[in-house]
Amino acid sequence: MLGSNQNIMKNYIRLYLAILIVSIHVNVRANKESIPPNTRQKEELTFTASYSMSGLMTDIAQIKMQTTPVATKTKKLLHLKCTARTFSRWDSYFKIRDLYEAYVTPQDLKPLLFKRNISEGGYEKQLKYIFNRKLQIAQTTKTKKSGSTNRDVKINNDVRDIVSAIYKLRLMNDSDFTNQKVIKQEVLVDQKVQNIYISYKGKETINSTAYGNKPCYKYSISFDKNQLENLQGNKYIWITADHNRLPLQIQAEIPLGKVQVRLTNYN
Amino acid sequence: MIKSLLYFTGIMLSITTLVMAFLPINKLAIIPGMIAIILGVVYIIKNKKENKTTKKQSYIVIGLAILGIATASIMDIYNEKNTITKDDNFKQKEENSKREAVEELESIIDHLEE
Repeated sequence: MLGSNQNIMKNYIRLYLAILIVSIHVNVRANKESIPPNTRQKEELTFTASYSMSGLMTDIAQIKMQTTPVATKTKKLLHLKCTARTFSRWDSYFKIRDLYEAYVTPQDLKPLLFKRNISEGGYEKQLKYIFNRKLQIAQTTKTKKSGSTNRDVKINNDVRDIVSAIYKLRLMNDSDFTNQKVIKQEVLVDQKVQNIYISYKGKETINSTAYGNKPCYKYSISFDKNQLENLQGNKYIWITADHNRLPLQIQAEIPLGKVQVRLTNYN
Repeated sequence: MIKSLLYFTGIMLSITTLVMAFLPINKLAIIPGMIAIILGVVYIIKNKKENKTTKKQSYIVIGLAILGIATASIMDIYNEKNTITKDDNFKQKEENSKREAVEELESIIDHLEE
């Protein structure tokens, strides 16, 4: 029973992160006035992830996405970091400390290095991708308690890691995003290239504790055949229809209730 | 048979309510609690229709459920809200990861520029 719950929790956290990525993807694509991340090198988005049943909501974790500049001896890069942490009261039952990082070039936001270090209720895993665009290969390393495995994954120029995909997409023009059009994004997840699909569902007003009533664009999200496909039900995201285009709310329906991720702070 | 089922389900839900009251999901304890109360009331009504004396167990079901809901409400009020524990290990992990990454990046950039 406990093991099953842990697996569900792990899937939820992965789902949050995947949806967050899609959310910002949509946000950026729809945002004519968004500031390219290469000109805005410090940024922080804070989210609260909750489980909701019959309208009763229980907050589970905090998710943060941060951008900071980083310098090597010869290059200036951007450090894109995403962390997921359970709230204090959950730590005794199911402690989550996830860290996702991408190091990208500021000019084109192409990732050079991606690192994922997760700790979820005793389950630990590390992933590292080194992107070699010349050879069109990503050298990946997965490390678990049982040992580590290396694999070279064939990639094209559009394939990105889960974090840097967000920021690259912020530079895209919204002219190709029209009503009902489905957008595909290729992402390297768990040493495999996987697809995420997004479609526009119209405008809705969302009541947010942090930002009040806001008119939002609503998008539906679906996944290719991967582990996230196991989480059946509709997945939606609401993006504010103002100049900020904030991903205000994300929702995934599950067999017993729904999972919600809400933006609580933006700096 | 139906009344036994009502009683058994009611008592199980009442106990679930009490257990949930002490867990982080205590807000959700109201759901099994309310169902348990409804089942207890149905049990009493059925007994009255049959002109039978209501067993004290049905009141125990309702009582436990109310106690569970009350405990859950109190726990929810007094529990810490969305706070994040200061976690030096995680902070250290973040710092180490960044330091190692910068070192790795030096060799990755050298390798790519060859």
